[in-house]
Amino acid sequence: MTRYFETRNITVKYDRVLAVKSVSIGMDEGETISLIGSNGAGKTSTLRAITGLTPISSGEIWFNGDRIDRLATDAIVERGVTMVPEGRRVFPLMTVRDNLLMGAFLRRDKSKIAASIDRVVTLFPRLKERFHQAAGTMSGGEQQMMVIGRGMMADPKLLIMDEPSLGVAPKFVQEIARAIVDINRQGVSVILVEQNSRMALRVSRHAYVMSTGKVVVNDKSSRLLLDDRVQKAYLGEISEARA
Amino acid sequence: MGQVLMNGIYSGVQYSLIALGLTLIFSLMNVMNFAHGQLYVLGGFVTYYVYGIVGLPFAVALFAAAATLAAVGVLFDVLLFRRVLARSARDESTMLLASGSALLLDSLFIIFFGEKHRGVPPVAGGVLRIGQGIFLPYGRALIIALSVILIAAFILFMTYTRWGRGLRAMAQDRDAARLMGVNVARYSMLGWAIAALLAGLAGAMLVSVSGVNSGLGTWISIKAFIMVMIGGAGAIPGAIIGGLVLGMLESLGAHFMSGSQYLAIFVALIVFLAIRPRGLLGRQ
Repeated sequence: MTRYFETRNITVKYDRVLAVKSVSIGMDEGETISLIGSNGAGKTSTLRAITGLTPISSGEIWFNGDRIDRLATDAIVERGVTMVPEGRRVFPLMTVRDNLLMGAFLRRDKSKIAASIDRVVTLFPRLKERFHQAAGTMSGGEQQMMVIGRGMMADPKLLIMDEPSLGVAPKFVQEIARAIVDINRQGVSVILVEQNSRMALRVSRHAYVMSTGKVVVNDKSSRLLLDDRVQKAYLGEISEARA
Repeated sequence: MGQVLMNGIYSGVQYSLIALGLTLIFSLMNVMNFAHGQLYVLGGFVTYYVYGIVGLPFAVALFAAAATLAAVGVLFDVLLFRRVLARSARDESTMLLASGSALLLDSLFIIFFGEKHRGVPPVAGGVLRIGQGIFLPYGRALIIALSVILIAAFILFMTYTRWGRGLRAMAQDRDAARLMGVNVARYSMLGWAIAALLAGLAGAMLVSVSGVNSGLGTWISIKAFIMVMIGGAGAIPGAIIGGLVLGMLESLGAHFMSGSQYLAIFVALIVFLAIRPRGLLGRQ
């Protein structure tokens, strides 16, 4: 019996270095889970494996009843798994509009795409003002909103967000957290990856804590939020300073 | 003087077509395609056979050249560059591969097409006279018109179509493009096909005026690199401007310092690049 989404003992190697060691995470449909841990814990490598950007060397990945770990990234996206990558990764020379349309690259129904654009600018009204501006000229916070919107444009079943609060001004962090809750309420399952563990734990139901390539703690977010030992042992000073 | 400028425009628009393909491959694959000029030569020979020898209409020859070169572009990707890029991310690897491909094509041209300079009958007779003392043969006018149409079509394709958007996204951030669902393997093939097709069409058109021979490829590649360096690598407007600038410089040089114009162009290029290494519109 497989869950809606799960990784089974996946391992990722770069050259000979193990970045992800036998990681198993899982979630049910409609849930938000978070993957937290300090820099270098293997979070981003796990996500690259899930989205097919980096091949896994062992293990299995399942989504919605299908095994997806041998598929190319575009085939995984087509199945409804979309990632908002770390570091924003806008298409800097394209307008905000073209960036959003890139998010809908695999969709053909123009009226539904237009409806998605409406939904994105309702969620992030600021993007409407910037609609015909080159994305590279916007502030970091605006770019982050745009890439979340670009992720929504795929109309995903599962949306994975890698460090959406990284390098973003505090006032935007609130707005982004609100957007994540909102997206989840619309029925999208969410995997949130964060160094800002407090934000991630507030937003998610279940959390996995990673350290040196392994999942070391796996518990309800509400419990971890109160657990000082976990905070101190694995999340370090960064979350203290940033929360 | 008007005649000199007209000649400059005539060369410039064709050069722009050549530079567009080179800059497209550079921005999509980060590959310096030293064999770009050979693709141009192949386009010229296709036209020579289809139009010059077999005697089919010039338009048919253009289509044949476009189709042949698009196929060769795809083969370049599938048989050569994709395989090397999968094993090595170092720039030198693809540079060596491109140089080797250029030598291979040069040799194949000699074997199959011989050493002679080949021309074809003019496509259109007559001369257009513009104002006082500017002459534009109809054949050249046709090439200018076709080149401008092709450049415009390329820009519209890149700006407004889904394929064009996919290519631009891939050039700006390859992994992010994959996450949007762009099949980068297929889009690499598309990019190679378009780049080779543009070079081939330039060669196909030019053969009707100045002919073609097996040894032209390297010289055309060098010119294409000059244009891209002037305009700035990876920028589409840069390639167009670079082509026009080089065409104009050649024409002015041939008029004022016939015989040593290329010496002057290279010296000017070195000085220019020392001041502005990114070219006119290049990205960092």
